[in-house]
Amino acid sequence: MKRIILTSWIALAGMLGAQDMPLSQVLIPGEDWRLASFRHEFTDAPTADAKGNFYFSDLRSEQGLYQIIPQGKVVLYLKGMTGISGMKFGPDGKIYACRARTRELVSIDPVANKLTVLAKDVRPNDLVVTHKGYLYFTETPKKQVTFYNTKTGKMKPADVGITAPNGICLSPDQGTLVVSDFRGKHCWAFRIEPDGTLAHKQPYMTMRRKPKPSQERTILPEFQPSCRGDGMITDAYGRYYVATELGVQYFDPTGRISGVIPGPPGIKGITSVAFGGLNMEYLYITCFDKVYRMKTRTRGIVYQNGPQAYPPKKK
Amino acid sequence: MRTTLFLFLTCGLLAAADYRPGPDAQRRDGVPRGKVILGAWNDCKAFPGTTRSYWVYIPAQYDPKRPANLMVFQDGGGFVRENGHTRVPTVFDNLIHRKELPVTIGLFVNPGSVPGAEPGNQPRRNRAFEYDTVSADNANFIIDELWPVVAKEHNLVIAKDPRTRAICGNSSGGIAAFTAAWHRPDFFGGVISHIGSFTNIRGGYVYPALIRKTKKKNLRVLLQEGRRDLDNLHGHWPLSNAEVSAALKYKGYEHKMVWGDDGHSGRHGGSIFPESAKWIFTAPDFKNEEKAKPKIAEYKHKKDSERQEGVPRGKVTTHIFESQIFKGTRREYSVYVPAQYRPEQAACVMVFQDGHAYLKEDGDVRVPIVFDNLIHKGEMPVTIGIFVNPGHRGDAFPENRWRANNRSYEYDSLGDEYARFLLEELLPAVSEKYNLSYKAADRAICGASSGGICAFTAAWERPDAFSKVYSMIGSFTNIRGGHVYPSWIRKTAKKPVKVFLQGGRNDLDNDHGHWPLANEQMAAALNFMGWDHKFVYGDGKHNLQHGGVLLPDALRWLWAGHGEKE
Repeated sequence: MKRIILTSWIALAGMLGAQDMPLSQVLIPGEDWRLASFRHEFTDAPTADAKGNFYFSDLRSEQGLYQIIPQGKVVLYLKGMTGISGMKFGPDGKIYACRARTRELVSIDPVANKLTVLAKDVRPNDLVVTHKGYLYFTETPKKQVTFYNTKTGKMKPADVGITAPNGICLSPDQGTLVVSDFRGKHCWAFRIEPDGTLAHKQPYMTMRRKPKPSQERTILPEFQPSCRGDGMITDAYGRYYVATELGVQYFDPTGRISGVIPGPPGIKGITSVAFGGLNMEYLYITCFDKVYRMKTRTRGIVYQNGPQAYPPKKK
Repeated sequence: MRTTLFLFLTCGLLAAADYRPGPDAQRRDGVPRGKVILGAWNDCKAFPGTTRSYWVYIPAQYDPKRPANLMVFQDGGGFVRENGHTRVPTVFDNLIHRKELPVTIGLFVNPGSVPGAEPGNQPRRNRAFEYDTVSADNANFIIDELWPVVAKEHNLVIAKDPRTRAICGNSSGGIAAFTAAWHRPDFFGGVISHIGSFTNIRGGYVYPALIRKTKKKNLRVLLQEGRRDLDNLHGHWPLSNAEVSAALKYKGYEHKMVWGDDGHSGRHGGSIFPESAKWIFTAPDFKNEEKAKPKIAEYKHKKDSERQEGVPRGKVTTHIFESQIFKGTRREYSVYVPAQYRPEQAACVMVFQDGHAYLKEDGDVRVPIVFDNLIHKGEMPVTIGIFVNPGHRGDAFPENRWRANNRSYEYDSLGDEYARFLLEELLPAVSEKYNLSYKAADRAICGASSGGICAFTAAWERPDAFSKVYSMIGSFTNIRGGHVYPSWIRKTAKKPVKVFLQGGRNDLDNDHGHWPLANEQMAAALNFMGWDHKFVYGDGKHNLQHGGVLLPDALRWLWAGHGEKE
């Protein structure tokens, strides 16, 4: 009987198409953005370690990296690690980071608080590292996504042509790479080949943009050419989140926009988005001088734990 | 979870009407069978990296010397299956044999997917991208990439007239069929859409608006839809199909709308498919429907809209305002100050667009009378009313104040410009004389027609400034893109705004849209996202009568609970 039910379910699911992922699966009624940290200048580079501790950078501060422990307290994490615009933990426990101001790609040993320059004269903005140690970083002014193999130290362009490649993230199984375009309307999907090459580039996701009113009437209304798509992150269900000027927008694994979560009133903008917390249940946003977080029904993915099947099996 | 879902679906199916394949979908002795040949398309240029299956059906009667008709099916695998929902090869065999259908070749195409590069990697499913995107890409793929190769391989020749070629699909395949014909009417002349997803999966909600404002194309369109169809984050399927149908009728397309009682299933479309296939190539019974004469209801004011003895009267003064945000415009605005107003207590605020229409004591809306009565009875807080006209460029205001020349730009445009005008210019100007509350909870906004969508837009853009909206016969249509709101509402975190919508079944149906359906879409979207809202749907036309009579009720509802701790 069980088999019959299962087979029917699969047949029906196939007929119904991809699984819908409405906002009710992400938001908790009554939960809203709460201030997590403030009095900064330009916060960015949000990320979490495998325990759910949350980290971010203040690009313009001379202090270094900050940490928000799951209880919500903000502490200075690594002194002197300044000017970082994007970072992720690698499978080796190191932090890989983009130092935009000094045009360096670096790795940081958090235990020794030691910084190693991996590449100079690059224009890194944000990055992601796969379980194989393949590092991809966006070089926004060069319209380029660059591949850096952390095991061999070899570096080469992986894609050229996105107007302003900015945010970057992986599917939970780490087979798909997605890059946001700060000056365009799409987030682009690539297949990661076994050797790290990026293949089958596609404008898979279309971001919602602000209207562009004009006195002239057109058949359909005009929208802005971009919504300033910035930092990206993935959750355990394969949703792709991107920080934009309209808020955090998320897409289901088949590329369909499924929700827009505006930021709190009065912010200057959202530069990036990431999950953190003991169960990775908090969605964090970096908003210039402030960092906010919101408790959600979903949970983020820890890339450094390796590829994960999705959606996760219900317990 | 899976069992629950299965049971739920089963119950849904049992409760719905019993649609099944009819006699034309059964195999008959003595009817020659066409060939069905499976193919794979793995080197796709239109959608790089995708792989997919396709099938071609060649009728037994096909003769290469006589060009045949063609029908393409999206999600082809489901349509070609011998015991599937539609069973196209059997239906075609039977109908062609009885000469009820021209000799017709079938091309059944599945959506593509990009396989994972390594074991354990999920494929990138491309169905939504190919089917739900409003673009020519999928049509071009079928017409310019796939079909020429299939035709050559199997020596297939089709007739030149697009009316001999149709495209059919279910759900996203349904909108894909329409999209293909819409972008390539040079190739496809007929569309059969079952439970079509003319919703906001990837922007497909634009079709009613596009159809109304685009020169009529040479297309014949059959839509099948079920009253129990989906209502989810992407949209409301029955209302969206009704909107497409209304737009096609408005433009005089050869169009047939078939309603059923099913949900999101291919069975009803499958059961009527033999008739649909015959209709799409000939439309024998087509005639433009005459519009039935509407029954217009009359709405009469009640006590709260009449002057009552012993109720203190507020005062109305009128002023001129020159805007910097809408440069070069001037406008009149009036301020109603209730008798109960005390300068030491910040008053609540309600802003009325097209303010001139709300002030007359014997008019449709009579706001000063209603405010006097309700404030006196304590049914709404002490509220200063601001009645603002749309801006006008030029020396003299037009005799008809609805015709101010910047009205459409200010009211119908999407975006925050008008909200900024109110919050950065007009309210501060009124605040110089009166103590106005700046809290969203104390501020309401109202308007009718374009003023109605304008009121909603202000609260949508600035829910931190306006928490209550009263829209009468709101123009949530494509005057300047306002048809987007139901789609945006369904995919945006709920805003803390109460919305009272009034609509009329006999409201406008014109180039910009269908007002009654547009308001139904708004109400359905607010309902889906759980907004605090109320929709009163009457039998009125495009005027303020019903909305005016409803004002006391709308105000009581909007201000209910005001002042209590949130």
